[in-house]
Amino acid sequence: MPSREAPNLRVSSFNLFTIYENRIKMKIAPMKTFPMKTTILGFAMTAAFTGCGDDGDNPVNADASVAVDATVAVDAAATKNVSINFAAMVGADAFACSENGAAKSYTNLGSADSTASFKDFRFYVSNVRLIDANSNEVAVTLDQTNFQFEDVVLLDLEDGTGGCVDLGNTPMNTSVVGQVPAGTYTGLAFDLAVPFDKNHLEASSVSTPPPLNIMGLFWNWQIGHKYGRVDLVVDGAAGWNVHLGSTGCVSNGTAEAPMVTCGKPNVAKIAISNFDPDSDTVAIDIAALLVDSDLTANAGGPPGCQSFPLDVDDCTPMYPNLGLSFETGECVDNCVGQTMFKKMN
Amino acid sequence: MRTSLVLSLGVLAASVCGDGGGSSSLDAAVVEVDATLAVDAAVGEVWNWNLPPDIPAPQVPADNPMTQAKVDLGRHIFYDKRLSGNGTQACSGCHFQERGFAEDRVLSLGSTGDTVPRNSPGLQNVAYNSTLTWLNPNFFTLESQMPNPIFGEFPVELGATGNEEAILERFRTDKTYQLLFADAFPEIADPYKFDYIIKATASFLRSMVSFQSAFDREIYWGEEGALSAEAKRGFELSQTERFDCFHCHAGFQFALGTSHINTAFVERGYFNTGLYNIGGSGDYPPDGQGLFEFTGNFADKGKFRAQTFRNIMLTAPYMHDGSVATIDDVIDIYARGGRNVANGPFTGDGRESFLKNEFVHGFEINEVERLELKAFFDSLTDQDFITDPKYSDPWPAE
Repeated sequence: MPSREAPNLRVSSFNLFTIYENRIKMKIAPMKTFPMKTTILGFAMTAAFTGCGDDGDNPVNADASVAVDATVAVDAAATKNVSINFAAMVGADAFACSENGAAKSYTNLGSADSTASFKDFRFYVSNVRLIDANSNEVAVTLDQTNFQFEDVVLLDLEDGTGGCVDLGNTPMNTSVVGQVPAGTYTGLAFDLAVPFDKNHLEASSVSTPPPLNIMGLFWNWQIGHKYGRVDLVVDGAAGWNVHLGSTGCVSNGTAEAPMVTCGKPNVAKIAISNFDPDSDTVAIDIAALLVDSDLTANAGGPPGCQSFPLDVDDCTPMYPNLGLSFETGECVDNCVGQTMFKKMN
Repeated sequence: MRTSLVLSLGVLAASVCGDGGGSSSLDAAVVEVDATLAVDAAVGEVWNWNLPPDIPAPQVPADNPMTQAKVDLGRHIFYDKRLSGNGTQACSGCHFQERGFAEDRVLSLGSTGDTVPRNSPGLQNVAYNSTLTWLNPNFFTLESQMPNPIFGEFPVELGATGNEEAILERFRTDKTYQLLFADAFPEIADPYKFDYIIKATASFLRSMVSFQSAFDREIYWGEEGALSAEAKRGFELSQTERFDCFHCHAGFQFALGTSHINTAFVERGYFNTGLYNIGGSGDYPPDGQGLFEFTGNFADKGKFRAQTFRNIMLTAPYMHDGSVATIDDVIDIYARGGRNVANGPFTGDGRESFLKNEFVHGFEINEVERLELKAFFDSLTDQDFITDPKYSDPWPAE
């Protein structure tokens, strides 16, 4: 049996094709991109070896599969699986795209008590950690799936029905799945963001894996991904959209990624105490995020808060509900003022 | 759909793994992996898409892998009037290479004289479309879409219905086709069936990749200076929240409804752009109601698939019904935030439509910016593609 340096992850077989293609193409023409790509490629190529050998559906590969599994099963005794569950809420009501085949409406949203339905409801979270009784943080090592790549997870709370038919799709993801050291945990922390080292990977590039290759959750190389997207259809108004992401990103052009962190990272750092990951659920309350926003008014640019500087009047009231200052793009007092994420009662 | 996608990807991956030919230049680990999958080698040839390094390959259905022989056959069929019931029209009768395989007619004209209520869209990079045509959300593959123009009766396009056997006999008895079919489907005893005609034509359409425009050469091939400063500013304008082109025209295809081999979560991208708002009702004309025709949801009225920007300067007139004559008119409509139809049966101001997508919010554009935006569109014209002999009519001139 050939030895393999199998990383602790699984990559679906079609990524292999991508990676292979990329290697071939790289010999033909240089990549006009940016240094971080190299890192990602390097990672992905390592992963690809597992992808090819770890084809569990193919009986002829049974031996290879066993070999790979063995290398993955390291330290099983010292770790435990964890599944941190999230639920999309609109105030006290569970969120849904549709009801009886049409877009589902919710009332009393925002400062003008608007009635609205939804077209999209997706967020990236990263840097997920559990916290023990002594305030020690441990990182959750994420399973590698189409919804989870390295340290970033897409929470996809829309099902592509009703109002979400334009932008959404059927698959959903309402949990963060991975491993932590065995132990007892009483708190949860994560960032509402795509980490900078992956944020500016072009969404439709061959080397950008799921879940980072969704174009509806991407601006461009320079600005990177939308960390969160919630689009509302508001009765009697043009609509109101929340597109979160970093701004003030400096690069040589729209089609090039920045080399240093963006001027306004806009990364909400979320901490939830008194949280048992084995039994509790995180409520993502979009009504709480929007409570200070007038959904019938649009103060500038496209409707809602798109996080860019011209949207100052739309974003300034909303950002504190993420714990952020729109002016600085940073957490205020560690983002403790955020009201959007809380333990489900 | 998901199932077939996974199957197709599986075959692609297997064919790559099983391809020992190119592995000598790769490192040892890859060679080992190749060996474990060598038994799966019974798949199509490895197709060279000729893509820039950063562009992922398109999806290919598992039951119709790319081969040069099928592409050759499909090219002959695409340009052959004998595919139509009365022998007067080919696919190329509505899709012209010099126009990126779109047409300059307002509405397409079928082989029997029926007017088709659509302007035929271009075909470059059609293999990447998440769904095909202007509005049908159920055509995930060219193989599923193509029966529509071939057999459709309301309206008639190629008009094969009722003439099936006569059409197949034309292919069966033609000496050129006897060679082409035998090469394309060597394992099939009787390949003179519409299933194989469609598979071959779909393979030809998939082979139509366009990545040689000035924009591509600069951005995707790394050729510094290929893109003018003016076009670059136009691209940047398209990416601003002020113009907001990019919410719908996203990614390398400049169309949200794009899928490729890395796609895990399919995006489709249907939008109401405020082209109509008949009598303030939100309505579109009866023969072009958009996604509503399939979902029956009132909110889906007027939603059409966002088309690519590629070769857009060659594809006038614009929109699903060809009702916008020039690119300047298109820019004016978006700058206004919707079209005002001032008279006739469809009178109404699209800007005020309550069904209009909120990103069509209107913007101020000065003359310099207009020229920059058009320079960007010009930079997406792929002269190589529209003159490439491998996409041209293979038949001798009549």
